Amino acid sequence: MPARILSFGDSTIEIVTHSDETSDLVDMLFKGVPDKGINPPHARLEISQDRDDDYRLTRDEKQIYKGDSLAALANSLMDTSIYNLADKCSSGLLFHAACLSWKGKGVILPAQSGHGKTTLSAWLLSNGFDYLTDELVYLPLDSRQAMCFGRPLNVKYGAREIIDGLLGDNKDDDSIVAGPIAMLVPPQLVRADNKTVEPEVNMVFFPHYRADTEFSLEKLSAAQTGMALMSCLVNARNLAGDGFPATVSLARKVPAYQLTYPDFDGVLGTITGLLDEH
Amino acid sequence: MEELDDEVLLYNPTNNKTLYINKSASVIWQLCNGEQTTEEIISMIQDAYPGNDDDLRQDILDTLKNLADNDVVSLS
Repeated sequence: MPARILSFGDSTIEIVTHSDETSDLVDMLFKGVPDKGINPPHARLEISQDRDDDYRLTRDEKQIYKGDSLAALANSLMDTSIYNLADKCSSGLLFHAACLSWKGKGVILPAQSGHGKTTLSAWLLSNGFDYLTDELVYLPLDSRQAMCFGRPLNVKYGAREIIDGLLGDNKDDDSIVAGPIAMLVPPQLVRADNKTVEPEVNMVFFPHYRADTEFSLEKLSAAQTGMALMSCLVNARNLAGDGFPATVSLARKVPAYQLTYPDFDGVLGTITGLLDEH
Repeated sequence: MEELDDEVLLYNPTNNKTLYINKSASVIWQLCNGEQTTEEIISMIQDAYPGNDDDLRQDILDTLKNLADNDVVSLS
């Protein structure tokens, strides 16, 4: 009965599997997530198969998913794991954000779902950035050292054409998990030499893809940055002062920009230019 | 509350809302100390920034309404 530990920040969970197929799925999904935690697991997820061969995902014996789709199981497992890891994380700021590294400099892209974090991340990855996450970034209190939830790119089907272009010959690779809402794409399929690092955050970009607008870049004040970061803080209720003092402290230290774009023209040069100058 | 340069960021733990107050609005917010009425605040700012009193009055009222809508001040 193989068990995989997932550790993120000070939060740890355990995933138990009962077959090579589901064990391989867990390995693929959480390849970039540390397997040693400072605390014991606070939740136990288990994947089993019923007599009718349906997959069954439970959390501490409560059923989360039941069905015959491995891809749907993958989506459910990913969502449940992220929720449970975030739920108990209390030793740092946890942002809903993508994170990449450019020449060792960390960039975070905080945004709500639908603002284009994943597609922009994939595109930056294809242009030499190291991809670290498109979902969760953890910053220990009083630190800018980013620990990222290293999952595959979670690509919505609306962006498939762009992603297929980036994947090239890899677009039909067996390791892509095509779920009902999104597909999970290992970053190494976009760029084989992608490296996993824990960079210091040097810059923040709040991305907003809008087809009907023009490219714009606005430097944000520290107060505007703090406001925008608070809207992406996932674990506020676990932190002193709801994370407000720590978030403001971060906003004072790191330059931030609002980036609005209808396509990728100009985005790469803008981001790399600012990072190279900083 | 955090003052960042000339701007202010307010966090209300009762509704988990964060409110950004820009440089102009922070002047108004700082006058909301419980001692001045709305009319007194308008008068003080009009004295400090003479010019188009009607526009300024409306801007101040809009700002006060925004602050009140976010439970940061109560209007008398």
